[in-house]
Amino acid sequence: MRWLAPRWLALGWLAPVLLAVMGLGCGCRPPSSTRSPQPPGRVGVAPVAPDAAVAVVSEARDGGVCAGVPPAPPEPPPTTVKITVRSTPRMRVSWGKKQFGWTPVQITRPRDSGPMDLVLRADGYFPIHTRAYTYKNSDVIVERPTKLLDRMKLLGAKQELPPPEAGEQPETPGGTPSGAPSPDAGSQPQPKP
Amino acid sequence: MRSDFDFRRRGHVLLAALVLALAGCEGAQAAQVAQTARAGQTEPRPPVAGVDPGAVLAARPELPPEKRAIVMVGGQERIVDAEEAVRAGFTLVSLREDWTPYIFLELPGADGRPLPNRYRTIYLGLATDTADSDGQPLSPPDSGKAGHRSKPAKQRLPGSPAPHNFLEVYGIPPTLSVLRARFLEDAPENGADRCADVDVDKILAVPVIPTPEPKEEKRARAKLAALRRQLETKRRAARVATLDELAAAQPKLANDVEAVKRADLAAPAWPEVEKRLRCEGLLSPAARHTPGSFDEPMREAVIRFQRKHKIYEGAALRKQTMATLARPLLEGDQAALERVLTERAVSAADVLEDGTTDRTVSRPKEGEPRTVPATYKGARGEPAPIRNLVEEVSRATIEQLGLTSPEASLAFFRRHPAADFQWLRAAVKLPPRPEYYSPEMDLSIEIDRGDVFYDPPYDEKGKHLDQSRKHYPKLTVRVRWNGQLIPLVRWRTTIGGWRSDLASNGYEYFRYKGSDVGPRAWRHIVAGPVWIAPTSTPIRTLVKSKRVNGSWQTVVNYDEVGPGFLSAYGLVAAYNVVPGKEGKPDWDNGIRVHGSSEFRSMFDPDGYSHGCHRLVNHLAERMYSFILQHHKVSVEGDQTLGFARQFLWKEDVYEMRLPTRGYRFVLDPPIPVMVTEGNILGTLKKPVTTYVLKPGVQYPPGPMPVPRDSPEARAGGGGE
Repeated sequence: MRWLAPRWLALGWLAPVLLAVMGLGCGCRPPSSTRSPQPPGRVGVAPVAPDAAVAVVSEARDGGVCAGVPPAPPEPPPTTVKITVRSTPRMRVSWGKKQFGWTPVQITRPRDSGPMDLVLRADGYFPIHTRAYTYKNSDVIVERPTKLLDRMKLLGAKQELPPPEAGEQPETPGGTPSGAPSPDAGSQPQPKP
Repeated sequence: MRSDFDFRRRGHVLLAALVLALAGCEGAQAAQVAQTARAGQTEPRPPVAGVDPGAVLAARPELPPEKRAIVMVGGQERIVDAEEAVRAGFTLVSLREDWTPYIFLELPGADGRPLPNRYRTIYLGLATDTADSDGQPLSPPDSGKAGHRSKPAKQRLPGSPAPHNFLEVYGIPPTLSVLRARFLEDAPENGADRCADVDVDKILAVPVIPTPEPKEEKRARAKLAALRRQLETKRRAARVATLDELAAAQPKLANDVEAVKRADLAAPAWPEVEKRLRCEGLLSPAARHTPGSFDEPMREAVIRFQRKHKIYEGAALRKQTMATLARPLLEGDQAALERVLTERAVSAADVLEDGTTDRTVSRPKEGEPRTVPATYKGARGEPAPIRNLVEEVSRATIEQLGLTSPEASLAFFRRHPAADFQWLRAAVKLPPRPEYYSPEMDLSIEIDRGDVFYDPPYDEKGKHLDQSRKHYPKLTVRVRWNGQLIPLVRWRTTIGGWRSDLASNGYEYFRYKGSDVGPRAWRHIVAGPVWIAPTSTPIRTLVKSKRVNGSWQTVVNYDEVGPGFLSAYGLVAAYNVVPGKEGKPDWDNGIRVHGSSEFRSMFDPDGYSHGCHRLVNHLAERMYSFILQHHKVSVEGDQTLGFARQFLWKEDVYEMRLPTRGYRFVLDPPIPVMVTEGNILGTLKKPVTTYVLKPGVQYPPGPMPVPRDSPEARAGGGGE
């Protein structure tokens, strides 16, 4: 009997510790998640905006059982982002008046400083206007610049009109064309079965 | 911000939280707490009418700002404990700078962690007048669409208009600190309004001033002068003293006489309108404006005035614009404050009904209202009116805060520095919500297409055909309760019509972009949605001019694509789909129900969409915020997209790059939607599926291209 009591006691100290760990680690929400009590009708949807309603749970957060839990501050993101511009073939990169030189180009910009509308140019190719975002590091890769000769492969390229003397078709008056299928042939798109 | 409704089961919530804490399950905790809290919650708000806040809420000036709310007691503001106020049945109405509609909150996902909402930052920057639609510091205004730079961002010249985003018509109301600045700026100095020298009577004398385009102005003046000469000749011939007598004697000349009289009244009103726009800081003294002319500076000033005062009129001096021009500055500010408080109160109260389901009385007797509320059967079978809760909560908030006059509001802003709006909340007693409210409401949507024309809008000679509609498309939100469908709101929306479509040969044709009919469902709601323009979108609409790092260039029109208030999908959208059955995927015909910056399409007789059902942005925000709070929802957050598409415009290629498709909510189960056929008018009873030639366009020889048949090409919705 003498040796049993100390063993029981030795295990007994673990109980409050475990409860405390469960209470602190799981029962309390991390301070970063300043949630309000779940409004009725919302599953897993609790506003976390500072403007949300007074948080009942915040009693604990602000000085209750969770007060001793050190908040895990989120890692502040770097203040700048890196944007890498690549292309094949190599092209000259500009952003408004600023010239960055030939691809590949790496641009460093303040984070969240707004989008950058870049232009890439190379002889024999159409200039390409593209955009880089500054909310995170990103790559802008232009793989398929279009050769000037391949104009008609591009969306929006207009089929050329015949010269005026050869043009048989005058400006159209509008309305349903005579050659068009009967309107009745069309039907409301039906859902796939 | 949430109502007392959110807190009345705090005992349950705390108990559930304790149980879950002991169970040790952090991940699913939020959902389980919410489920527990929701169980069996159907009773309305506790009755609070007649409760004196002074009697139940003690003054607590020592509380830190984040725990405070304000109430008015005997005409004096009192700081009280916000939690205590909620427990006593008050609702907290946010007056804070960081308020957004519910759809732009950062909500926890499946793992309980908040999912960042990227558009929230932009929204707040726009609402606080600190940033533009790219999230960059606000430049001086230079465009009709405020916040939308279409001209160079110039340095502010002395006396030029201050940089403001006037975005209420686009669903982004200003914050209270912005309104505070307006009130203080417009406050009379030494008893005199800075617009006091405007002769309001001259403006009020003419309900509408014709505003021909500058290039048409000369011709319009010449035409009027000629008309005046003709009428004078006829007056002398008729031997009458005045033009009025001439109109009485020869009724067919009445319209001409009226036009001349309108012009006579407009002449003295015009300088007063210019004066008013100048003193309000909307027409810069530095602008190259020719007095008396509706030139570009004047047009832009009128547009900014309309945006500031939330006037949904075209860029002209029409009825509501003229009436507002005649209003004192502070009255305009008071109206703006009341609109802003309405949105805040509606959001806090979590209500939707706005009286739009009222029935029109066909022949009201004198003194009787023109509309009466629709009714439903109450729990005991008694008829109960469908109340205008928006008006009720708005009025309660404004009255209880004592902000019922411009003077009272000015005093409120004078005693609260701008910094107070970082924490200010008002505790307001709101009327109880109707008995059909519950945490999970059985909501459904009905879209009536109204009068529908399938015929092309032009005849074979290119003459525009009259396709007047009597019944416009309407969207109704309904709740099924106690065996009946109760309509909550009924708003004008749009259906598709004849639109320009880009064919495979690079030319634009007309194509009928229909709104399909039948049972549909909403499975997703997206806040800050991105519109992936279908390949049939006319290229000219996908580019715009923009000042880029010191030089002008043409860029992809990301405003149109979104996310943003000018997005084709507005600030929020739901996707009409036919839910897949037996393992088959949903069928998406490219039709969306979304907010829209093209508000004229929801007010004009000839307003149509590309097939989608548009709503005014602030109503779309209200509706979707309401649905998300009364339905089973999970949050997926920002949806990474990585989309890119190239197209040719003139001699340059443009690459549209879209990193996100918006912040997505999943509705489970989906919300049922029924699109009814409406009344098919005109000769054609089915839509034309081919292209139709546009009048005045020269097309290349050969057969006409066949329209693409993908869902996104049929309608304008595009992909997700």
